[in-house]
Amino acid sequence: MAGRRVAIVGAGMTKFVRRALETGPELAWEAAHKALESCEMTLDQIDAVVLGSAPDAFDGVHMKVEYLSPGAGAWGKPTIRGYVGGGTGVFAAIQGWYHIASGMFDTVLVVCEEKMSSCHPHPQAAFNYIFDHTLERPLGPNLLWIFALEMNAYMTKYGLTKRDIAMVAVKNKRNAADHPAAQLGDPNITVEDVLNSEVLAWPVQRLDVSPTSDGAVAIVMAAEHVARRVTNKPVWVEGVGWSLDTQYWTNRDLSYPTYVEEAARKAYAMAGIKEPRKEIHIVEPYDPFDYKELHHLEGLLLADRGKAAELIALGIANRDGDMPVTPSGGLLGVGNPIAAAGLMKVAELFWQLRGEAGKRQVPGQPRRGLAQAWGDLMQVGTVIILGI
Amino acid sequence: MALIERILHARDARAWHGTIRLEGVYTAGVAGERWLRGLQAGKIYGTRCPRCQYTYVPARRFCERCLGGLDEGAWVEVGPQGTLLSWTRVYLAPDGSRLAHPRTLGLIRLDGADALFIHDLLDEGTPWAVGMRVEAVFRPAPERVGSLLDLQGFRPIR
Amino acid sequence: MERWVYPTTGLRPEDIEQGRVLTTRAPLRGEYAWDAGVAVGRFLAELKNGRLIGRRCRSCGRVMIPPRMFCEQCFRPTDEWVPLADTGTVITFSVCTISWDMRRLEVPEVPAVIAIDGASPGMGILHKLGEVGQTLEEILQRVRVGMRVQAVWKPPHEREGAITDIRYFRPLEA
Repeated sequence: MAGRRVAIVGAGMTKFVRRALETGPELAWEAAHKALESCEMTLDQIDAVVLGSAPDAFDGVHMKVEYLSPGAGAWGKPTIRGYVGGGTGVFAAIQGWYHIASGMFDTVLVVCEEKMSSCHPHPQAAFNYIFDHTLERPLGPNLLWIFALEMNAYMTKYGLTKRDIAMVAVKNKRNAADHPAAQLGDPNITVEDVLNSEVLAWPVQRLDVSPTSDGAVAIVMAAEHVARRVTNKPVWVEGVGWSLDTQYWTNRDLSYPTYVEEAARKAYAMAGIKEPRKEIHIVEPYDPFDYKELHHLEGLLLADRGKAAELIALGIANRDGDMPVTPSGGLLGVGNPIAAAGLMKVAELFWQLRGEAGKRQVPGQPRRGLAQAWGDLMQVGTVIILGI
Repeated sequence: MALIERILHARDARAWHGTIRLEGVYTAGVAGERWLRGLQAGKIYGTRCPRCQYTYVPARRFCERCLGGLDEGAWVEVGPQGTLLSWTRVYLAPDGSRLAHPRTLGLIRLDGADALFIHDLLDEGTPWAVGMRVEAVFRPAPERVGSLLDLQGFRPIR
Repeated sequence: MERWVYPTTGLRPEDIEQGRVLTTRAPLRGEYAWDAGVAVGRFLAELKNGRLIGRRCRSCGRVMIPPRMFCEQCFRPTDEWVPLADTGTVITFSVCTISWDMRRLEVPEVPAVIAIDGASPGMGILHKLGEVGQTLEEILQRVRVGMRVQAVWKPPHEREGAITDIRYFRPLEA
């Protein structure tokens, strides 16, 4: 493990909603304020701030992080922004980690925020600009194309059905019914509901997709000597990894997320993990679409290629199963404010490992969890492993 | 080894044209909503942080200095008079063209506030000076909609 | 952890549409002229001539489309232009029934990643399929991953040096 030991000592978040009255800075403040309150720390005890927020186009403000900075406690503090699309939520925690592991800072406040509702006619429209301006945009693409193309490649290669995949949406939306901040928690949703939902870009149907959301999440990270003073249950960062695949997405094997495997291997090596399927007790993979959870479980080496769906079908991925997957309810259930969603998963592990996850609590005193986020043009993998 | 071929005439350099067309629809926020309704009612409010002894205008939901919440008890009326701390006269529009009438802007510390406020300075021909006392001019009540422009601007105190 | 969730104020669409909360609007209108660059500039010029072209890196041996002047894997300049066929194989496809701003389309579009003959295996480009049906059901009957397709070009006088000089790819089989 490179550098000093680092722990997460506090966490807070907003509710995730379709459209908030709060401005971006107010959302950042709500989360940051709760995070500090949760560990009884004050802003003057924070040495540096990491702010994560994805495309400026959503909040509609250039230099978005400077705009958010007052609400994130960044006034007068060394501040940095991380931005790797949806991968930001976990990447921001990694940035917080190296700020402290390096010895430069003892405490860091990590805040991730997104206010997608400002973007009209629909937040989806901002994603249009992810396509190559000369060779792809003239075809009139939309974001759903990329996911649908990847989903079809994955399903075709392994002979998976929509039913196999829809079970992920059901598990996550049901889990989210027990999350106090959830936008789309539904304790009664069934596979039939998903299969009967409107086709958007076949094979993608409406209930396969996470919502657009406004929200923010914040965590407080500290060096060991501070962490032990602040809490009797610090959650340690045991491994981190991140990797970026080629921008030429149409040249890639879309049925397998190599970039996730590369990030995971770095994290496992750092944590000294040789058998991830045995040593990881809770997984929070990124689930913007239901099939992505399966895709990512395979990239994380937690399931054989093409076989992740079996974990769901056999109940292994349930909260009381052998390897709970997305006990939070994930993006599909809690919501998807782009940069904040990944940090929501990190916060979930924090609460789970401390036994504070309430109705979502995974039984058996889990000691180690992994959170993974993903973003950009289907190309970045960010992984963090936490332990207590 | 050179990767780039030199293009001698700009017309030979191919460019692909496109537009990015989105519209931002911005809410005022929890504090902003209330502050703008205050303007609509002909009042300028601030919020005061008791820990930092600092009053923000426009009113804010939280103090950026200590990250404390600024709740109900933090709302105070400020102005409508204040002191001009700086001013400028603008001759160009955002697109770089010349304005038909130059526009004068002021940076004002409203009485009771610590944060500074920017708005238009009215009364052309006034010899503006730092330190001058100014007062807010509201639009007539029926014209106010809950906008920063419910304030017309500031003029020297008469 | 309920204590650490802030009760954020959610709004309904009517709150904005009917002006129950105050909003300001601003268009984000950017006009851009992107240099095509050396590789894509040549690619566009060849499209105008009704041809697809790739670029080879002699170090890894890949023949790449879209062409690029440097190999991003070997991190060295690429070596030569390679003319390609205008036929290929469907790597994956979708049947899209909604537009970029989430409105329903009358006739679904069929975006696809198509591996182009003559380039290295798996070297796909994004384009659309055509002549494959008018409804979701028809299209799902007609289109298969692995299907062989052929570019359908605009007539020469309509081509402008753009990816849309190819109207779409149609099935090669009858």
